[in-house]
Amino acid sequence: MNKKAQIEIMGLMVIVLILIFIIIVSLRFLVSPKSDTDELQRQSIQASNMLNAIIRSNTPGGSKVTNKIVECYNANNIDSDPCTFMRENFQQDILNEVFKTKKYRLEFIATNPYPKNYYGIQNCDPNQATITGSATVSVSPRILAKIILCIQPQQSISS
Amino acid sequence: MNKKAQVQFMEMIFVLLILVVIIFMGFIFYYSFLYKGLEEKGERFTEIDAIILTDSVASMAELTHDTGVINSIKIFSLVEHIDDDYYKDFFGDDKKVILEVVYPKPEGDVDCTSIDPNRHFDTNYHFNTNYRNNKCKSFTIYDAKSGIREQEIRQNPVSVYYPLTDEYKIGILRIGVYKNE
Repeated sequence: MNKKAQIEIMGLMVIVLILIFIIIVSLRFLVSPKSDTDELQRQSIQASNMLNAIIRSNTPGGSKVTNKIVECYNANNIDSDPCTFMRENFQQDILNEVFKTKKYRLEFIATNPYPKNYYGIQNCDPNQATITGSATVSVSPRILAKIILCIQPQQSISS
Repeated sequence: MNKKAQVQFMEMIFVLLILVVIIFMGFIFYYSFLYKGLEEKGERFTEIDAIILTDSVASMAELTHDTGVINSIKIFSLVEHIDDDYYKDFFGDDKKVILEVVYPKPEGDVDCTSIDPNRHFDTNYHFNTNYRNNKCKSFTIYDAKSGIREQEIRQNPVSVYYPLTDEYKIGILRIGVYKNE
């Protein structure tokens, strides 16, 4: 191969290298995943604020919401009046109103003698979705309340 | 110029043309990403601003009853002084802050602290007619009214205390920002 041909191949290689460099830089910007860590923290704070507001709130009748939660636990029947009250009031009036498009699960856990989930209200199954935030507070010495926020596949995290 | 030289000349022009196109495309990519990045940063800062404001409002001594609990009566006295420069600086010149009561639902749908365009606000009327009769659905804490379109950018659940009945309700603190587009 003569010298001129070698120089031309070198020139071609330089152009190919420039093209590869441009493609790599473009792909880096286009494909790089966005970090959702901040949004996850914010959603956990929102879940925590929601739980604290629920636990502190009164019912339309004037009694404490925590009384209904304990009554539902004592009734040991998810179709009992206190449990039905919780489902109707919490889901329709509170959770759907506050979280709107977000998916959630609100669960109540009895801690004695061992942790057991005794009641849950949800429009998202955390086992089949991605958890985006969660918070737990104590309702009484024997009961914990937990909110899990989740996204279904194809749902945006910040929606 | 002989034919071989002409071909080489054409080849050089072709290579230069491709290089110019590549450089031009690079510039377009660079500026489009730069512009997109600036827009995203702008939105991000507005959002961070709103998050800080949400937490600040929920812990303002002028409003709170307890940590994270807003005293509904204190909103009336705050709104009477909301035109002070201190609060304009505190809330920002493009924000709207509303507290909406969601549970238990009030019997009315009145915004008990909204201020008309003439900055007129009758505290006693709203307090005695609507607040005492549980008709206050929302409370406008601050409204800059500085743009054409208002967009809600953040909301946060809070506990709202009603001293007259010694009750707590659940509210949503909504932060909106005015835009001129």
